[in-house]
Amino acid sequence: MAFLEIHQVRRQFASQVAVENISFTADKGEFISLLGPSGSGKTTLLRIVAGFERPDAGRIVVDGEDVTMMPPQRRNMGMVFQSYALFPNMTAANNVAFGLRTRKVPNDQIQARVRELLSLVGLEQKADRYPHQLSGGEQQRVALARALAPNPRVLLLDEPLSALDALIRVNLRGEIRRIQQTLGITTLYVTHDQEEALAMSDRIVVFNHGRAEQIGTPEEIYDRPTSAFVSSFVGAMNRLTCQVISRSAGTVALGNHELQVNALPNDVTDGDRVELWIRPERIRLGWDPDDVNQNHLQVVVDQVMFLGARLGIKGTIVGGGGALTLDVPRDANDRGAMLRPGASVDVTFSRSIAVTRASE
Amino acid sequence: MAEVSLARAEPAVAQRVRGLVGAVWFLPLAVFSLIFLFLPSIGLFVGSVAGSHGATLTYYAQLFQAQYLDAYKVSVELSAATAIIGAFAGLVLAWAVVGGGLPRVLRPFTLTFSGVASNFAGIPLAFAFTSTLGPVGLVTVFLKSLHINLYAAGFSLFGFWGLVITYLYFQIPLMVLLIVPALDHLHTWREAATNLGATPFQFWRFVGLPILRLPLLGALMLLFGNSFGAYATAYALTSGMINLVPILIGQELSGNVVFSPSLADAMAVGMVLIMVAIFVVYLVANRRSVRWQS
Amino acid sequence: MKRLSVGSWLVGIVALLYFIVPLVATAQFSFQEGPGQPFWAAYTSILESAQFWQSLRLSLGMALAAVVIGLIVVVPAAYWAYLRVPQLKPWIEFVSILPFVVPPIVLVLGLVRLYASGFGPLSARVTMLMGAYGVVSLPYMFRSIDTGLRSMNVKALTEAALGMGASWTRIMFQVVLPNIRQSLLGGAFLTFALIMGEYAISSMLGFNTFGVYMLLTGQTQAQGAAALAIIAFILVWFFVAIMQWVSRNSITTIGGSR
Repeated sequence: MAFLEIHQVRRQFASQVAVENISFTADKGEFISLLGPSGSGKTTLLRIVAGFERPDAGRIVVDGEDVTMMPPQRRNMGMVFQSYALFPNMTAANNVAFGLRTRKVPNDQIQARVRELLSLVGLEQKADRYPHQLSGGEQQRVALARALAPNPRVLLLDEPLSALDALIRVNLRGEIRRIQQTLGITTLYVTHDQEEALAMSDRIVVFNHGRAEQIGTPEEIYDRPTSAFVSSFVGAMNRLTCQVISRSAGTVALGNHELQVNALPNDVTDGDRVELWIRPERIRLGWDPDDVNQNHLQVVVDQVMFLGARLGIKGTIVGGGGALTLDVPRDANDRGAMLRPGASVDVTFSRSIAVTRASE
Repeated sequence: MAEVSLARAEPAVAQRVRGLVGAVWFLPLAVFSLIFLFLPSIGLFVGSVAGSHGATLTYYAQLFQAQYLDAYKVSVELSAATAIIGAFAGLVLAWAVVGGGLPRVLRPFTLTFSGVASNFAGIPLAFAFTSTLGPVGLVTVFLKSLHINLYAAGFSLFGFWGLVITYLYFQIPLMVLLIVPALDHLHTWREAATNLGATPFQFWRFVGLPILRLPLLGALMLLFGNSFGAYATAYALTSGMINLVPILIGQELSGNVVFSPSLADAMAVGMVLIMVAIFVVYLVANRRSVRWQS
Repeated sequence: MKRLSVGSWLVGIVALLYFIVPLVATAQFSFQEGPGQPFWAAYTSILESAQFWQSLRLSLGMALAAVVIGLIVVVPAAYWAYLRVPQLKPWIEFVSILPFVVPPIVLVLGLVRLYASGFGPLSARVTMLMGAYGVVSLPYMFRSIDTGLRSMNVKALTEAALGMGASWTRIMFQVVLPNIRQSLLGGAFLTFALIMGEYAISSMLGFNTFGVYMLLTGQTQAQGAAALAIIAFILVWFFVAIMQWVSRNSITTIGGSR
């Protein structure tokens, strides 16, 4: 049963629509990421849920209660801000205690709860530090503890990691997920970092220009993007423009190659232009002429980028068809693939790849 | 040849030469402030203690005579009153405009108007208030038609509270300009506090005012100084008939010699000392709150 | 939230009344015509008087001098502090704020006492006036120059210019000044607004600046006084508007809700 429901929410600033009829629901304990580029409306939606903005239309329902018109101080939603927003005049412990004090919780209970939460985020040693005496990562942990202290119904996080260094970011995102799962708290997480969203979420809502482009699990979003925007915003994607040779045979022309695909869209006819969407890591080096389920291309390597565990290859398809990006294991070179600029290599990819109508 | 051997033999000297070359950049500021700020101030101090037979404190002792003491008292009271009222009113007005209570479009207008009004001081301001609240001013006459006789009730534009009302015309806007940046920063903290269930009162009591303490103190100090040194407004409004320290100094300077030059020097030094004292209070407060301010 | 809004409106309306009524009263007073004269008579007689233009020119000239002084005095020191000796920055700021501790009337007293009785060129009244105005505008000039330098990455730009073989004069005129132009102009127009109506210093030194002219005229003609107040208000508005307009890009406004 849905715990948090967002119904047809719409918000307009001046002439610009920030949030356009967004609807989705979250189950109790679910972690949902709102993913999108800046200005796509994800933060506005979060602020509407928190009560800092009023929607022009639509409803927010929490646990069966309509909170759309409820003032923010009564909603009991814990929010973590991008800039931490810790009160600089209070110690870490007093920051965490603040939401309990406003609710007139007895003092001894406050002390116990503060200790509990600071140890949950691993900062019990730094309870008496002021925010400026803490590192960025520590400040954000305090902010998380502060948001969680009053036992909020929903946890809202507004790009909480974007001001931190890469390493701390990765550590803290694991920790946020762990705490969220321990507490089983329903969470909305705003981010523009697709890797973060894929790693942390139960489901992802991909935002673009105020609309929800796609809603689904990380696997669905990554493997079966339903729009060109999602395909290129989440992960890298080769988009090859082809022309349908025969719909019934499942053949398309890429340059002067003929390729086989399993699933052409229903509404295309012979001669239409379509796009093949292929993730770089789904393209294999080498070619086994006997494997009929694979499409084969020859690629001239333009650039080889060393990425640690993997190699990033940019190349040009021989015989026309444009550029191709590959992401191959690093040991591909050891196996004699001769990946260096100018080299010509065989590559293959499965017939069961996504094909969409070309956007024109 | 010579350069090479110099560099090799005495790097310390070369460094010192470079330091001196660097000092040239500071020379204009140093010379200018020495000639036009430091030396005149020192000169006043010297003048104030120079008696006919060596150093003396007689002129400072004279400052404690009723008339001069009263001038200081009125000056300080006027400055304190306009600073405190101006700071409070300016804070409330600024919060109404930037805190979201009033439409957003009013913000740039308020800031521009504040920029203008905070600079609209002196002679024209005195004229404007004479036209408004003077004995035949528009508001005075209007209130009289409602059978409210301001002047019969003891109000005078040329008295203490008349000056306060007039000074507030530049003090409040100055406060708005000073405090708006600080209030802007308060925005996320207010959301955080609200999100944690704080009422507006709780927010101001536990978060807003503690965070604003230093900017508020700084603004109060600036407002005090702004009014303490004001001469033209008071002079034009009262035709120099109000007992303020700047007016007394002005009388001496413009040749209406009613007291000795050294006494004027002592009065001027007294003004500077009061300003320095207020500055020091601010610095101490500043130092003390470094505890939670990075 | 709702209650706060009502309070805010009340505050807004009271403020509007307090700030608008004096302007309306003054304007209304300035339009009270004498017998047989058009209602704008007070304005024409002011705008036709040679003294008005002379005094205004004098004041604006002196304001310009104060700006130039501020430029010559503050820019090199602040620039060098940003580039090489950051530990001197607080001292420069301190010196630039000091004029605030010395009220104008005290400053002019000190200048007259020290230099009036013969000190070469310093005893010239016009030198004292320019110097005093330079001192009075120092905090504002410093503030704007400081803002400009802070936002331009002095070190990187200077090192880039030095790396390309530029001389110090070239760096100053082609790198530093163009980059702080906006905030400089902002400070300059603020100084204009500040100096334009100045009275205490110039009257003590015996100059017929705009402030002195206003007082002398206002003492004899009541309508003229009101008209001058309106003219002065418009002039200040003009300078402040230009100031805010030129520095609109250099002041980063902290945005509210998105």
